[in-house]
Amino acid sequence: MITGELRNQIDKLWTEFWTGGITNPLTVIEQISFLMFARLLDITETRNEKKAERTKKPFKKLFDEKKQDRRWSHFKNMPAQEMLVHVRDKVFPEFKKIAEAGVPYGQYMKDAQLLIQKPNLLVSAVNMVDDLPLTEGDSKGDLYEYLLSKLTTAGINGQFRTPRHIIRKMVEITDPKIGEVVGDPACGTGGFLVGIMEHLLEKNTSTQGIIESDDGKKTFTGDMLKDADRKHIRNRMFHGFDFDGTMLRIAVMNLLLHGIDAPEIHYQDTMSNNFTERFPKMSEDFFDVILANPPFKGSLDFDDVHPDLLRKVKTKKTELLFVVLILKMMKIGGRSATIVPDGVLFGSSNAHLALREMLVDDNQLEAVISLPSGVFKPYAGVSTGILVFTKGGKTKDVFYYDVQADGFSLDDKRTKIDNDDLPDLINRWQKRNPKKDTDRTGKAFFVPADEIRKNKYDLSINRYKEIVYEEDEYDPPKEILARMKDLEMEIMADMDELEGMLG
Amino acid sequence: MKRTWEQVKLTEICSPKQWRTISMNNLKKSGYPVYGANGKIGFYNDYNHEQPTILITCRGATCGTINICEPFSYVTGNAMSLDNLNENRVNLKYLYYCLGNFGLQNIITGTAQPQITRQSLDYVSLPLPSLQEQKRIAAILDKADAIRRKRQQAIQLADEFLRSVFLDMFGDPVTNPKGWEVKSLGENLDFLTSGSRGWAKYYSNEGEKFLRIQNIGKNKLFKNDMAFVKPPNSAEAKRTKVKSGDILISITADLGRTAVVPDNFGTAYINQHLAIIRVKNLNSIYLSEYLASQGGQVQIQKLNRQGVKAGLNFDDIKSLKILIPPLDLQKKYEQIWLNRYKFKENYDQLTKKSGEIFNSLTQRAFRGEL
Repeated sequence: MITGELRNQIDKLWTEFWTGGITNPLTVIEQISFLMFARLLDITETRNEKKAERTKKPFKKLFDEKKQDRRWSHFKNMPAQEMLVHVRDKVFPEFKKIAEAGVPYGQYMKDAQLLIQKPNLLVSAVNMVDDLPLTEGDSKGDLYEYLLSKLTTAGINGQFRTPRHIIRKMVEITDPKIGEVVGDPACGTGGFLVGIMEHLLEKNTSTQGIIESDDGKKTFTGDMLKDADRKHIRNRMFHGFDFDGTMLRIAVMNLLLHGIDAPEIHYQDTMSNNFTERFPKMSEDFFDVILANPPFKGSLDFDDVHPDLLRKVKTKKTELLFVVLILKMMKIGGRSATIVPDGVLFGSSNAHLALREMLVDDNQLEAVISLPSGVFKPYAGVSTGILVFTKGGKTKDVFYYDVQADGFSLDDKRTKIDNDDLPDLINRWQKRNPKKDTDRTGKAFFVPADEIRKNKYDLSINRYKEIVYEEDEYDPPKEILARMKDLEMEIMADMDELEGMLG
Repeated sequence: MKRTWEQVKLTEICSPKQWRTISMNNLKKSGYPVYGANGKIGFYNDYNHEQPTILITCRGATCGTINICEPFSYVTGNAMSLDNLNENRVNLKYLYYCLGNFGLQNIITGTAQPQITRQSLDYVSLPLPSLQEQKRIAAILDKADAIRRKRQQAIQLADEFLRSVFLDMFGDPVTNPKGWEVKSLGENLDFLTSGSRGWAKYYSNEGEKFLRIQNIGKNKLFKNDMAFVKPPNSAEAKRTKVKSGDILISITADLGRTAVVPDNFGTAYINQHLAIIRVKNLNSIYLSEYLASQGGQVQIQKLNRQGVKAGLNFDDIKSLKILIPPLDLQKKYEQIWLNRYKFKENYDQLTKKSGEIFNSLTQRAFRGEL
């Protein structure tokens, strides 16, 4: 549980980074992540040492005898100037060796560079990281999420953080289960994967396993998970790809702190030719569930795009190619919820049409959920929707839902408000019935696939939603005319009177 | 100003006061009216003024506006209320018109947020003739004000009249109670085009009219706020030049505003936010009014592509469903419309004049020349 005090501490550190000259929030998070990593290495080492002492069995040391001064516990109390030089020149280069030694998450840290240049800033950062409850099981993730919530500017390639409450609803709609394999082809900070993890814990926690904190927030311990389940979650379940090194590091740290200590997070442009070469298994017919918010405007190396994707939909638009890619990566029967800009739903180019035909005719398009255009503020005001689809089969009826409020104001501030359609969305989705949900003036309704085909595969909700019509009401023309005459007469009388007053 | 008229400080004849402001969340649906910065903003379960009182907007953009509150109303701190008016010396209505005439612009302070403070009101002084003279002036201005208001009402009624005639002749466009034949607009279309892009470089102070979204309304053409261009001699210019009888429709942002190009309008072009609809076997005025009606607007909103910006494409416009009453009936509506339209031009003139009379009288009244 992340307390108010801890939050204040993080906020304070944030301002210190600013005044210390590091203003890019991504860099700040990355630097803090490196320090957390340094501390986690020390924690692991200490734990192993204690275990070795008890069992009298030797273990593979991360830090050999001569390099004990690289450990967190050693340098954390150094004087400021000395600490800066030591961490920069000794500790960070050490990460590379450790990475090669094969700590599961080590490979992402090998390029670590200390960008902090003010000794005092480093001391503050180290002190704060030292205070973080990194050894306590369930709160570490929340803490990191709080750090990530400070990412309020979009990246160069248009990456932005998907709001967590939207992620949770997408997870609930696709409902991933233990034993399945899940992935995100453009994972960013790993939000979707973390969302799935939280969902699994919630589903597998007994009433006794719920820890309630003072402010009423519940933590789910996942006490009903079996050892085999945990092993699957840790090693095989989660897959993410991205081609932004900073994002990857953050994603790994995020998953790690949420209890997934060996996630398959890879540096990979999933659109590219070499995806199939490097990950032949994962690039085709592999996943049970894919959740994604792929980049909409990201630049694309067109010549490097895998020809399999272009054969289906010839375009340079990443938002279209990603949907094709997701279909390719999933097994038959695999489920996806993917955020797309509204243009995908009604665009009239050949590529747009081809993609929609593919979704409706060769796969099962399950739902189109229209989101209000402020959902991604303050990053972007773009209007979007969530496509829910299953690979293979043929579409019969498509569930539509018109989300008009998501519990937050739709301006740049995004302050919490009472109006929230999302719980109703889940409720209507779970109880959906094509025979009963036919009222097109309501928020949720079904549209038969044939009707969509007739409308040139237009998927936009406005095409099918019906607006409650109120007839125009006016008095009969003659009555209005009479009133006009009366008014004219009044005005005439008024003018006469006025004339009289002026004498 | 007549020399016999006494100059009196505002603070000598009343006590300006800012009352406690209530939070918007506490406003009720009914109860005593609440006055905010500029007029009524809602209701509340309490009042702080029993008598009609003069209110000066003292915060925000409308700073300096004068209102009078109803009896039994709640006045918030965004308006300065002139309490305890000395009615032996000053008439409420006189003070109201007098403040309006002299204006309070020169006592507004604050740059980011304009405001009028209790202190700055100390600098305001007013001419105060005898109470009897005050009442006479107030009565004259009240009359002139009433004429002005009624003129505006008359214009609204004229609009209402046209809509009412339309419904009476053709019935509601959606429910189609008279059972007219329904066709898509595409079937009666002769020509459809959207306006030119990037003509900013041709803007000039004089030249040909360049119609933009603000020039059209609900089957209405607004001629004020007109832009002018020196158009190039190009195919695009030929394509986007309007003819009399053309229906103009807005196709981005504020969708579905319409207007018909009248006879003798002169040369004019449209920009990219508008489209020209040229029809056959259909009356332009009828179609424009049809699209402007509640029923037409519902159809248009349904087609709205809710991208980053609202928009209609040609297929959307062609797919609009139109009721097709007999042509002579459409023609009959056009005649009534044109007739009223001429009327309306007169009305606009009269309204303008009635405003001028009011201003002229006010000015003279406080110069002591009435």
